[in-house]
Amino acid sequence: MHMADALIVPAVAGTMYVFSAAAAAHSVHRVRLESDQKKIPEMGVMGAFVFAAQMINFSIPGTGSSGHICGGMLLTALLGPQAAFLTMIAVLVIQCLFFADGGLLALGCNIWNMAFYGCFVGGYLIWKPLMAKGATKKRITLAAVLGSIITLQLGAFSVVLETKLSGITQLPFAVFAGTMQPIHLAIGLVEGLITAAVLCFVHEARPEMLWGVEKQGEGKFSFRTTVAILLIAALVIGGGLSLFASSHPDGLEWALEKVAGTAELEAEGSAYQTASDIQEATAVLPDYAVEGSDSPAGTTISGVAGSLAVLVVSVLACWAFRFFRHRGSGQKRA
Amino acid sequence: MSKFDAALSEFRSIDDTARISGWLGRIHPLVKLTVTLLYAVAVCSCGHYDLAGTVRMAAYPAVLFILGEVPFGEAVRRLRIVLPLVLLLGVLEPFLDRTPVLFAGITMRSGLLSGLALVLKGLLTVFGAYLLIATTTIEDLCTVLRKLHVPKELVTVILLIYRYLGILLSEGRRVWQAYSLRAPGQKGVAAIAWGPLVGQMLLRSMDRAQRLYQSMQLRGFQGEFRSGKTWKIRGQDLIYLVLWSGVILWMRFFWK
Amino acid sequence: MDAVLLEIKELGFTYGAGTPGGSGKKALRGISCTARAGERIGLIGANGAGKSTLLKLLVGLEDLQEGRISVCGLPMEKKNLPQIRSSLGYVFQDSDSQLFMARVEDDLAFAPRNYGFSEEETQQRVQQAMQAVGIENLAGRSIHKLSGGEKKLAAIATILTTDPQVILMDEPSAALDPKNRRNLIRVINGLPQLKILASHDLDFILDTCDRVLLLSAGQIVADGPAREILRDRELLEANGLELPLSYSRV
Repeated sequence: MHMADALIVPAVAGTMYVFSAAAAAHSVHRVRLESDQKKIPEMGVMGAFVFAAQMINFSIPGTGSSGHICGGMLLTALLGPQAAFLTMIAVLVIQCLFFADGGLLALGCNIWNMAFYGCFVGGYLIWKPLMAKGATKKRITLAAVLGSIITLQLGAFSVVLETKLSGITQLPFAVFAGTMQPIHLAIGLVEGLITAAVLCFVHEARPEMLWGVEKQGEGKFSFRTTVAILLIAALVIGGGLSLFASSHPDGLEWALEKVAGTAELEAEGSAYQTASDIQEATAVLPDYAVEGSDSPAGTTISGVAGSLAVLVVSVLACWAFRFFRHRGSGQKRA
Repeated sequence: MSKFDAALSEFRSIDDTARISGWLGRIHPLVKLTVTLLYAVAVCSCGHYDLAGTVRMAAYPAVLFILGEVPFGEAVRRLRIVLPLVLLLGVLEPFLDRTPVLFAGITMRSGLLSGLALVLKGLLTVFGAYLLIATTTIEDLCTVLRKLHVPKELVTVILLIYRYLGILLSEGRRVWQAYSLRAPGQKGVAAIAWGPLVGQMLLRSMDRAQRLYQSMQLRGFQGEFRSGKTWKIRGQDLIYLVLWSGVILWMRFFWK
Repeated sequence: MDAVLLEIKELGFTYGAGTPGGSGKKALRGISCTARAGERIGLIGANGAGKSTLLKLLVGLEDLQEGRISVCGLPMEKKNLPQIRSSLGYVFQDSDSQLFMARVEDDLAFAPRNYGFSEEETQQRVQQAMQAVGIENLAGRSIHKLSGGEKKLAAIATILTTDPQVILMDEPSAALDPKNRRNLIRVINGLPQLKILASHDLDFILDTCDRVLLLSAGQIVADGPAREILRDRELLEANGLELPLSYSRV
């Protein structure tokens, strides 16, 4: 999923750098607060470990092919989201510089697409809630698989988004996303299973190494509800089926169609290009990447995007709900 | 030659190249970083159909490879990783974008222009990044990053990964070799061994990290790897900066 | 008499002490001894006898539980740790854990830079350390290119840069081929500091130490001249060891 520089324009690159830098600043702050300098050599060695582990071929039973591990969820479960995020940044920097895996300009995008989702979304929205009642093999597996699937879907979608926003390709959004998402669904599933196997091993050998596991059985959130929400989330994202049929161009879409239309004709004047990119980048939702949104393909795209938005909002809302409910009422029975 | 060996040798070859680099190696790393980023921004901001403009940008790497005596073959080998997707999208462009356009006196699909431009951008940005890392050691780059206020935690972790990458890759290779000797004919690790194989390696890595931490503590580690080398900006660094920034901007905006 | 540099009184240590439900393993009990400047002491014992634990306690890598330790006149306390650690050099069994920078000079310079020495002073110390172990030819090399023997010498050099008065080594000859092992013996014998070497390799101890402490099940069961203890077959075998090859072949 590493993006090359050629796939984006500077405005998109810059925006993603800003987001990634913000997340990195937060992570550094948190890691410092823990004031446990022990974390740093752990991060270094685990970063190198992830590199090496990425090269191992894992045979997928039943098929003839092999899968690989990316490492975001694995690192998060061992080091916590912030330390894992910084470790992944370091890994991506080295991959970019020494192996040309990902471009320098695209580093901000790659950090966001691969590290941010894997560490923060995977850590706080999936791993921690599932470990809230203690770790078991089943819960570890579920968290690893769901985490990998969801975060890879988000990452792949972001790649499509960033590329389309940069206007790099005339490939219709639907086709691009329609190829990327299912592929990464499969990759996510395999990675999740491998991660689960490794984490289960660690859980048996040295359970204290896992992050975010509540010692006692009292969790803050109903296990079943969490699982239900996450399963739905995985289906929605993975299937990409649209719940929204509307493709009414709203004011924003209209404006962007205009701009997109103009962008096709111009062949020079980078300032113009940059301005239209900024405009595209700062517009809120993905719908506008569609050129000619009255096609059926357009509906699916906006549907996926809409579902995604709904999903993210609902997961965040659940998290907030849980937080406030627990604060209000104390114990929660399963 | 396994993947591990390939990765190890690629990693080490860049390390070696950077350490023996000629005059380019003596240019201040901050200057080189700035010019590299400026170049990447300039290339990526070229219009999608601006094939001519993109081709002009090739002057920068061309000159530096030749005058800087930087090995070109290695740069070309590096293309194989990110190029596939770029190539794929580039090849699709002529089929997706069939608007006819006149270019250099020939009528062609505009998708051909954008496709070629895309692939070319892919090449040029990889070359630009390679020129940086092939002439600048990672330690110098990290010193520069610290000067730019990149947090010490991040920079230290980068240096640690760099140091231990070789060891972990060797260990990965040993683990894989030991496995394949007992599982002949298997292309990958069987599901039943996923957990223990990688898990053992992981636990060993954590133990190594602990020893490392002890070692660092004993020698007064305070959160940062200090470098003894100080880079001063000299006249030639400023000339390099101004010259190349000027040339890049001129190629991008003014050369018609 | 040379100055007393190390004083250990009634030292005891239990792993897992303080953890819930933990009646941990008692690794050391009632350890008492003194060591003077210039002594060459071998610390021997079967696996699990407590050698590594003792060394770690001396550098403060484990917390003091029972007993007292005094290093170069300073009692082992948290506030004295930085000074104690700069007077003691500890060489790990695994050189790769000790050499964590990418290049030899940077690793050697690590400690002096952290302790606030000027760059000039640091470079001087680095040069002296390299000369003391004979690795001047390795200046400028990347660590990953060093052989096992070279790494071991570099690891020793890294601790010499703070001018330690005591050198502790954990299994120094492990994983070295005969040639490197011989060279290591020569280098170690050339170091004037008080040395405590923990090792299974009794022949190595014989070649590098005058005095031997025999540890068994966490206690010192013998403390005396190396040649005497290492010739005592019954004593060694009673404590899980065998005669050094130099003596058993005779």
